[in-house]
Amino acid sequence: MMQAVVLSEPRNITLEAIEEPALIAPTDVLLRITSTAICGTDLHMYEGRLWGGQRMVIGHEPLGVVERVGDAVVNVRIGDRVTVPTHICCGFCANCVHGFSAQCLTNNPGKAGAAYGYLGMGGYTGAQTELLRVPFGDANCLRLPGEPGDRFEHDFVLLADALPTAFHATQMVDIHSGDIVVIYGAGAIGLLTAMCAFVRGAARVFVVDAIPERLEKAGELGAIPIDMSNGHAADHILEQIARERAGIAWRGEEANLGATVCVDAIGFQARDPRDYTVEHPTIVIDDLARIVAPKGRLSIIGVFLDSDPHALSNEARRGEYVIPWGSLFKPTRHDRCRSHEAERRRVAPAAPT
Amino acid sequence: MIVAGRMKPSAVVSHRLPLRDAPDAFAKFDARSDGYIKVVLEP
Repeated sequence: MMQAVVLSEPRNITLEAIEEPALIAPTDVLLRITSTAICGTDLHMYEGRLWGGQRMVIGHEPLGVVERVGDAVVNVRIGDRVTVPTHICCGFCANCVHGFSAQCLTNNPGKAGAAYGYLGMGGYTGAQTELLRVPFGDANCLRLPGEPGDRFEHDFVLLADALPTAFHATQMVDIHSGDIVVIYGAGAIGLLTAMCAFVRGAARVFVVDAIPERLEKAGELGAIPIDMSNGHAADHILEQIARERAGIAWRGEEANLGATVCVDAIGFQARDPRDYTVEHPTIVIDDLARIVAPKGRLSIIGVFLDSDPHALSNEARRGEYVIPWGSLFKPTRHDRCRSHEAERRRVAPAAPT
Repeated sequence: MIVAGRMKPSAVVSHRLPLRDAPDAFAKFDARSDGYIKVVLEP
């Protein structure tokens, strides 16, 4: 028997003894877990926003050491230190060979995409436990240097999900040198996205949140923290971008004002900044549409649901979201910024820089 | 990037706890209280 984190109903999590897994297919690997992280998406099930009515072992971010390998495993050996991506791939289906391993067609028959400890993703036992069965071990085990507990332990555990998700957020919009990046959400994904944006050469990174500890961490990473709790985050960002350009001759580029890249790292559970108890799933995209510069790029990495019975609005319950689509085709943000300046002088103090 | 020291993603890990502390960790992480940003559990 081994210990596992079991979600038996929403908000009811216990540590329980469960059967140890066995090798089932000859391509399986058993992983002895040394570190396993809690993800924001675990909270979707914990809060009951995604709930199938069945007990489950939760978790999908493991790092560990290979304990056993099936007869058909060729590239992974007992004793290898590996992390395992959240999404279980096969490596040979049409989607995997095109690089979309998170949409694997093999491991969750009839659906695209399988994962450990996640509702609707194939029913695989989660990774917040001691020993994990990893299907298609050769395709899923990412071998890593070093020993368990060394100085990279808590860096490498983030390679299962959090860091690649953040890197993907920067890669799909090609963040590059000179970009002005605005990230809504200073959870692990938002903060790691800031880190990746700097590595890729971003000139400025703003990180928006309402929680003081998270804003402080964003500042430690070199980003400009923006407190959204006063409801004026978009204004403050546009003002700061405009102020940075004040006094610098920039003939002909006035229309370019705004952020060249905007990232939603919050998703469907965004809160109304004026009343943190109220959910407002499109409030981030509303702001991003105002902030993004002409020819800018939007990176929506936050999770949205195709149906959400607990949502406040009828539209969101059906997975329908109203967003300011047309404004993305507006040829300038300049007029908006000036009107914000006027409004700021009337009502709101500038954010500290 | 990590081994070369150009990136230290663990800077976002706010809590390292034994697996048995998962129930309390979930409650605090869900409430975004006590500075919870990213939790790593150790079996």
